[in-house]
Amino acid sequence: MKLKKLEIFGPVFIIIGLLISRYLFPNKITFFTEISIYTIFVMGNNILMGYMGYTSFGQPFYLSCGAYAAALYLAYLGGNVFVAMLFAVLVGLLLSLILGPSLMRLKGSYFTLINASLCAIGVFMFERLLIDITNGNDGLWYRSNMAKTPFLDIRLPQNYFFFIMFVLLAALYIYRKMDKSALGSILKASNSNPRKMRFLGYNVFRIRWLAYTISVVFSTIAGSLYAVNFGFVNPSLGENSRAIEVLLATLIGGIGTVYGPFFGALGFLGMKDFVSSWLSRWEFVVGIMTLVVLFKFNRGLWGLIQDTGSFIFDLSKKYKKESIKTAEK
Amino acid sequence: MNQESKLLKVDNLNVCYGKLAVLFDVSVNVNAGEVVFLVGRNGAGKTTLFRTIAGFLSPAEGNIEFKGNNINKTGAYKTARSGLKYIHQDKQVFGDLTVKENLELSSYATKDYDWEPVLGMFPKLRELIDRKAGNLSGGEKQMLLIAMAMIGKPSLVMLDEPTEGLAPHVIKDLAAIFKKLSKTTTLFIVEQNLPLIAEIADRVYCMKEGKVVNEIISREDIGNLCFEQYL
Repeated sequence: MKLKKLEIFGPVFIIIGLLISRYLFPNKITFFTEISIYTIFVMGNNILMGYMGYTSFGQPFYLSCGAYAAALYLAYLGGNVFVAMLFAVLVGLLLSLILGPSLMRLKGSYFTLINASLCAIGVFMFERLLIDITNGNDGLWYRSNMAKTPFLDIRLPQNYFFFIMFVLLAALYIYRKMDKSALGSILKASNSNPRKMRFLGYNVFRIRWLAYTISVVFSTIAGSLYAVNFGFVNPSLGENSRAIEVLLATLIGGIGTVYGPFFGALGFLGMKDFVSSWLSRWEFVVGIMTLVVLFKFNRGLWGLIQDTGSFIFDLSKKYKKESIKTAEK
Repeated sequence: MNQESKLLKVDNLNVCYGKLAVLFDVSVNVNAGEVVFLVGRNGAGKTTLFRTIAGFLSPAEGNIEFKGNNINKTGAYKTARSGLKYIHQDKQVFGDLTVKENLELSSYATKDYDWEPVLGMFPKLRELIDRKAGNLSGGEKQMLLIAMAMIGKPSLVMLDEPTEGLAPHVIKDLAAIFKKLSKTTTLFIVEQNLPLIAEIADRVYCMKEGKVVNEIISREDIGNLCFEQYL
């Protein structure tokens, strides 16, 4: 089987890897759950950054909106976690409907900075404006309101892990399908040559808006998964500093690729987890390690894995040929 | 020529870049089935006229009609969808995508998935179908651009200096292609290549300093290169 054909099993390999890791390191179950949720968050950013060429400093805002949508539902309206997640998706769609038309007309640093200001607005909104329902900085607790789910009680962390595996598998296959479909080509082409796309009859603004909508919805889904995982949210989830983290994770994984977000989340959170167990100011070391990864492997970790895979595949092919020649002699 | 056969009708078009006027009362017509050339020196306003017709620039004054509909403010993508395709002179294809993916992009936009007519016209593209478009030669890129424009069976194709920078033997091939194309669609071409114009033009508009200064309608005059003085 050719190496490229194996790529279709990528999402399955990732899930198997996470499942094996969960049993090898049972005390790291929260970490693996966080990597999985963060992957979905990075996927959202990757659509804007990797496919469309937009650098957004506003991703934590969308993440926190999704988290608060699910949290507010669970705290005040009902206990069904699936409805809470659906509520977050609807909030994502609503946000992109309201903000998309104006944001997607902006270019370069204007887009980046206005998105950054959304983070500040979001933190202020959840911390001050909506303090009566969000409890401000104290955060919102609702775990006791969460109802038992049928088949698998996902309120329990060990079960939630399996639920997240299922969500991640679905997200990866949807993402892969999008990348290989017409939409993937259209998104990439709109980034590389928007004028040419107009010549062909495409409404580039609508394409950008669609990409923005997908990105926001991925972020709000990730936010709702965080909210259900922790049973608690506070405004720090939407802080500006988190915007840099998701950008770094996207770059570390390899921008504009299907599996880059997973390896970005794994690489970034892995470095953070490892270094922070030794040093309280983990940012310094993680920053240097990130620079090394980006300068040495500018296609990110996924690019490195692809190159290594191709190298080993070519080497084994060469070895096979040589051994056939020797046998013939 | 009666009103119905006029595919493109541009009347008294004035175009400005900010406060700077660049086109002055330009009027041109293209009839269905014709091959019309637009000639003029650099800076005469040929590309500006094409960009305005294609919807990339808004006219300050005047009227542009395509198939009897006013397209002054239609916008580029809607104009393209209505069947007016513009091939820019920069010969830019989607370099990271393969020839097949480039053609697919055109198909998605027009919902026309029948590539046989264009691949029949450009058999070489069939051989290059899996090659990255960025690795094609200038002539091959031009073929791909024309093929992409032809998907969806447009009524009018406007080409801006299609032979610029191409080798003489490629230009010869293109001349044959334009002849074939003219049987299925209408062509409006900005060009500086005299033999090519003389060979295939039905009419020639000559531009100078933002104005249309002459229209040559006789095949004999075209063959005698009467437009040469405007180049």
